[in-house]
Amino acid sequence: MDSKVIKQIFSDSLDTIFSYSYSLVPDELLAQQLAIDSFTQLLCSKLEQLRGKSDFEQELFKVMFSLAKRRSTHLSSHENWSSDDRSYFYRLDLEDRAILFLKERLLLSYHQVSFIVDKDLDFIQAQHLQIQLKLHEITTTKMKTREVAYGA
Amino acid sequence: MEHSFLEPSLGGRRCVHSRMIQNHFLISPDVHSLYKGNIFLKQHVKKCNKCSQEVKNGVLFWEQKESIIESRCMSPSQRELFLSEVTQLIYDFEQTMFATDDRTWNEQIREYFYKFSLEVLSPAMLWLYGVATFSMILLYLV
Repeated sequence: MDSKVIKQIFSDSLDTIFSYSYSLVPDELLAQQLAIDSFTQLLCSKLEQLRGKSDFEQELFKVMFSLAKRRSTHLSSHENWSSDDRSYFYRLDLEDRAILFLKERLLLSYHQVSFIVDKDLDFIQAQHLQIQLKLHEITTTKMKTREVAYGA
Repeated sequence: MEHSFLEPSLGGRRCVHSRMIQNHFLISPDVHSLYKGNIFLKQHVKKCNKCSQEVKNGVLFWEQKESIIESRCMSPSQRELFLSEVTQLIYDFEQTMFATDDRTWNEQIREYFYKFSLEVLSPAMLWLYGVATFSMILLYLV
């Protein structure tokens, strides 16, 4: 793919790329770093094979997920991402956040999510449902706890 | 939080904030001189991912300490072209990114999924969950 085209694509997709990155690693600096490194890796490995915006985004999201997964083990000791001051979304684990974000926020198909997360289609479909329930449970539990605290 | 960056001449990246340094995102000193963006020129280290021959005039993508996750063979001219093209794109990508207001990402995601979990989820999900559970039981029985 021509570098001018790539530049145009990433300029257009910047918000999507970084909001996805942030959903994986909820820290501004680390999200930037993840996006840059994933972009670099993608260019190194598949520069000639990329075909169009959709292909570029999907491949980039796949690399981002894979790198974020690898890094999460290093970073978990440094930052407690599920602490109370984060939103409920960040209480889900990395894979669940990725699936939910890709499906609900970016409105990708199950096939696309399956490709990015590198899991079977059946698994993604079942997991999507489970994640929504999990998020609902976290939210309602948290709200009930808050109500009790205020009541007391 | 204020960030400062190493090597502004190489694209103004790599924050020197302690967290980053301790988390293996920096390039080790022995390969520092070969650093060009995130790509290293090395001629004797690894085999090509595609042809399994030793990489000659190739490019290697380096990730976290000594782990190389991508390597390819190229002719010297291909390599030069590749490096200039890729490093320029990476540089542009970084510049574009640093120019954006990243503070909004968190708020956007937080807000979106909070609303999602409250408004969209509850009635629809309970119904869906019921259908899915019923289908799974049915499939199991069949």
